[in-house]
Amino acid sequence: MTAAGMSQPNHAGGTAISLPGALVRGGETHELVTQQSESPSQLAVRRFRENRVAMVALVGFILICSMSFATPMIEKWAGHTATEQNLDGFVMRGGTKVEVVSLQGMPAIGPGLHKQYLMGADGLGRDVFVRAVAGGSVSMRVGLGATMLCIVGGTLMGLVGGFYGGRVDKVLTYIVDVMIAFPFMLFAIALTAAIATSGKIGPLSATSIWVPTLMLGILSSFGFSRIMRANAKELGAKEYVEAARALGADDKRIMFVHLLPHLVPTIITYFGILLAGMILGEAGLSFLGVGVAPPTPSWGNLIADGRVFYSTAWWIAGAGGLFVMLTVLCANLVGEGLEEAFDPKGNR
Amino acid sequence: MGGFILVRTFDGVIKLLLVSMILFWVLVVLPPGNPALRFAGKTPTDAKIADVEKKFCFDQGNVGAYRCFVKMTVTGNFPSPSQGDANVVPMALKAVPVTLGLAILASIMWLTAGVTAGAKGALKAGTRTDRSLMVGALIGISFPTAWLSLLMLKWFTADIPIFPPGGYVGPAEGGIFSWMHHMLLPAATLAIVSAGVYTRMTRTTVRQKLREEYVKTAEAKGLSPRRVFGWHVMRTAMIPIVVMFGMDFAGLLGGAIFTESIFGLPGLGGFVMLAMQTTDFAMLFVGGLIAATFVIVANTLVDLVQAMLDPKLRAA
Repeated sequence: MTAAGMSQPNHAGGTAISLPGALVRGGETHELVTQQSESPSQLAVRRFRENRVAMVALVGFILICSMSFATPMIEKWAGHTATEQNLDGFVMRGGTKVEVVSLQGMPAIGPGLHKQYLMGADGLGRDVFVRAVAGGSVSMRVGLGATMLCIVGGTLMGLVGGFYGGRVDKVLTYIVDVMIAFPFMLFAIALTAAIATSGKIGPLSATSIWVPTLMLGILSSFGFSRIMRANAKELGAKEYVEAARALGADDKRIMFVHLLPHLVPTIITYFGILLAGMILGEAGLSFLGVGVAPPTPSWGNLIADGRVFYSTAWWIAGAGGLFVMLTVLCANLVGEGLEEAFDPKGNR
Repeated sequence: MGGFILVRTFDGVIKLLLVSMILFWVLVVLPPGNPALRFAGKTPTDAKIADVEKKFCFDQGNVGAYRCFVKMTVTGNFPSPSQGDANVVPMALKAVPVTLGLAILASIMWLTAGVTAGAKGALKAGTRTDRSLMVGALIGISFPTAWLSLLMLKWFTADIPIFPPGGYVGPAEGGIFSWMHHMLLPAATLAIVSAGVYTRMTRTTVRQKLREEYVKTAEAKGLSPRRVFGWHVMRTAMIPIVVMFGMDFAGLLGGAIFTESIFGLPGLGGFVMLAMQTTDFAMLFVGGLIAATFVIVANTLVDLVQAMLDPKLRAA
């Protein structure tokens, strides 16, 4: 016997109200008005969907992602792969034959509405647009991988430290303090210089894209663990933790079954901001030559490739930079939208 | 307060030692093979390798070598075998004022812009001014520093040549104006990237403070809006900004790598880039340690300033 009337989401800003439904009981008709409350996650989803800026950013982000993962198709459409060089070829531009790379080694094809070289050519006659698309899949993989690593590592450290407190917490906090004092780019440079001499680190070759992913992910997890620690500490003092313990739950169960789910909204909130940071980090590392190893394209490598031609062939660095900027902007806006959506103090 | 300073200083020294250990581990212990070979430069002779082994105490095991490294750093005499045994400590110290100047100039720009814009946004929350300020801040944050540096270089040294295309002139050699002329563009680049974070942070904290009871009390007392905002709101809102600023400033001292290398400034970032390009491990060690020192010193200073600004923390 439920009072499920015609449930209708109310977009005017109220909670979903089930309209007056007729309930027949013992021959009598009662008018019932029930307030059906939303679960917190339903509320967050609705708030996010009502945030137009965040939705546009999400669509933009998904577009960039899907374009990146459609690299093989775009390579086929443009007629060459991301690493294919064309040092002494010609293309038709406005009825005349134009060389792709001039005799002096300058990229001569700028951006224009053409199937080949949509965003121009680089110093080796490679198609900048195809490189940007293919580089997107590399940058996105590095960014997403590093974000996941950072979240898993940071949450584990924060959860353990915040939950146990005492000596465990002190040691962990100290480690985090020391690691944060380490300038990130310097650490990356030192590490890359160290592994470049041997060409290998453990099972990884120095040119694997796992190297920048691990570097970004692990080094940023220390900063993230601070946020998680503060949250876990607050949650650990709640009554339900005591209740769970009284029922005989061990530490592991309390941490992962009772505390972790409550950290999920915070993790989701930080996802976009972390991802944005990681994509910027990849661009930075690759620009310095300590990230994704060339000739594998990545957005950071595009900026690095364009460095020498910064005033003449601005489109090389421009393609990489623009894609990084748009992706980071979208990720930040989505992150901001999520933050507002999960804010318990926000209006319903 | 004296005890607090002492404890924090001691803590900083311990942290610095730990950082130096990690750096030593990354450069010496972690990579397989003879470390002397790595430190000796690109094409070392056998005699040179033996010499390096002795000089850096690699023959005394890792602990002995680490002790050697610390001694060389503390006495300020750290030779780089790949640079003809030149001492790299004065080289690195010479780079510090360049980076310091850049960081000061950039932080003046981004603090003024960021805090003003943030406060304006908070006071006009919800209006079009607020929204466009926040979008502008977000766009600034989203720029990759390297690309923005290249763009600035293209626009203001090639397209409209009002600034010199990189290079450095010290205030002692060319006068303060020439120094400014060379520094303005890289500093502005750094400021654009950083200002957005401060705009958003200032806006959030000022909005919080505006809702506080004591602000209402101050208004009710009949204080002028200027006094309420300047003293009661901004003073407390500055605490998180000061904390973040300390860390950012220190980070900049150790790592304005993109801007410095693109604009050709001989600062610490340029020093580290040179170390990487020449795979000079001695330079990497010294450069890394100096950068970490800045971060740790800034950390300590931030704690002290925070204690001074916040009466609740002062007691602790």
